[in-house]
Amino acid sequence: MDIVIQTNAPEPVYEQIVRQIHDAVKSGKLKPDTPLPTVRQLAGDLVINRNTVARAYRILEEQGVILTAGRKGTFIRRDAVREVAKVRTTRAERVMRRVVRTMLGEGLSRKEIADIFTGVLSIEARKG
Amino acid sequence: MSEWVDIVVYATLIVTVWGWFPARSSSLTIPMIADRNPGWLADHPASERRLVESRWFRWSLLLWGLVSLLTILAFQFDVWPQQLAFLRAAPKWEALKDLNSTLFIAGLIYVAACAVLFFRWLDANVPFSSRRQAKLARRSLHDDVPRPLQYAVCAVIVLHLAVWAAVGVTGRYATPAFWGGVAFQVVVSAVFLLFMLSAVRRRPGAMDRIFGPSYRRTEVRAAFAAQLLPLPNGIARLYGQVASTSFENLDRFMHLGLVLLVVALVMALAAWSRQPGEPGSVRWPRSATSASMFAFVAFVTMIQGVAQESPRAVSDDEIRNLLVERVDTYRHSVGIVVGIVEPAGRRVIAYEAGDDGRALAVVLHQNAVDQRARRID
Repeated sequence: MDIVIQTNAPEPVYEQIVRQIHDAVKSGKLKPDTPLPTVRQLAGDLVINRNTVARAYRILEEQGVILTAGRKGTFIRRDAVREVAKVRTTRAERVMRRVVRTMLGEGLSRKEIADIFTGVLSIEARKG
Repeated sequence: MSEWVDIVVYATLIVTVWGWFPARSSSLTIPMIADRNPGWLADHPASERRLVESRWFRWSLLLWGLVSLLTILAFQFDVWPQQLAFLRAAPKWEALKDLNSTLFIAGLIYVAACAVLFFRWLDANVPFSSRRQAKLARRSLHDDVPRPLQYAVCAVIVLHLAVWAAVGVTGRYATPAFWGGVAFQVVVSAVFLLFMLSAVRRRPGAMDRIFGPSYRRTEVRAAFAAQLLPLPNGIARLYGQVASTSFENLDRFMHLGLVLLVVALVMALAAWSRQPGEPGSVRWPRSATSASMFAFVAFVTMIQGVAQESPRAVSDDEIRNLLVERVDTYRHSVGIVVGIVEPAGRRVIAYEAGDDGRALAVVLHQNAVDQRARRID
């Protein structure tokens, strides 16, 4: 599986790495116990600073997606799929909270917000 | 063996490395830049044209090859300045070896300097593409070499070193020179191991992306197989120690074998770089396989040549020591006469225990053998 980064993109490189590993775990391209490249190898291959890769790995480890086992290297955790789903849910909740807070600040009622949300969902569902 | 064999081998090296390889590999310059930043070439057509039309590097290497060839031939034909007469002190094949090595290393230093300048120019002028790609898989030796083969080669190397150590530990051959030989074998094996590990761990370069995964696989396998290179030398030297013999031309054949191996590798790489296409589309060509086979067969043939070489003539003192041991220590006889016929002439060495128990060692000439035999009777 390939990882592709854009150094001139607005999204930081370490977040691109984290996101792509999340996607790979979710889609099943990275299965549990799969060894990941070392920080040195990935940084060398992508021609980026080692600290950038180390930061991405640290975030993934904190999220419970990967496991660093000393000299054996870094592996995808057995419950990585669940952890990725949890991370995504948490992130979605955070975004939603921010949106709801903004809407409440605009003076909308809870029912109006729920109606808007249902309406947007049905529009997106129609788009496919 | 005539020095012309050495000349032919060195000439093959010179023609391959300074003639054929630059002509082939120069076609990789543009793909290397394109691999680093595909958009740069489109934005700088003048630079691309200048690079394509540039011939100075190839011509300079051809010139160096010509100088090397002429120097070696001049040495062979004795057209040699008095200021460099000290080279004549060594045997001719050894002087040729040193001469060729010096010229070859000087050429390599020139190539390395040019490569440094080229990459500095790349760093200064061609930025890396903002879009970068890498495999999300850990590289290891297991990807390219099956585990049983790894274990087998490792076992052979460890066994080789263990035999050297065991022979030393038994004490009979445990001279400082022998332990120096053991240390040499260990260091050489370690160097080849590090070389193999660096091939496994190195980061992908332009060549990997131009030729696809088969390039790295071949490189790793070649580096892995290279671990076996020190073994023929080590085994021959150990046999020489144990059998108290030495192969006069061992160094010569080993050096020529190594040169042929380098020739084969360069030919393979040059043949491979003939038509870089889509990543992974270029396969190991037949000519490269033929080149490898050629080097292997030539190497084996020369090793056989080593095996057939006459062992060094044993000195009178060494024979006399053996006779003293047989007569005085083991009491095999009251006296022994040894006759040796060799290209340089005939020698007869005799030893007998003296009447008073004092050992007498006598070296006889052929015309004295009859008198000595009559006296023993």
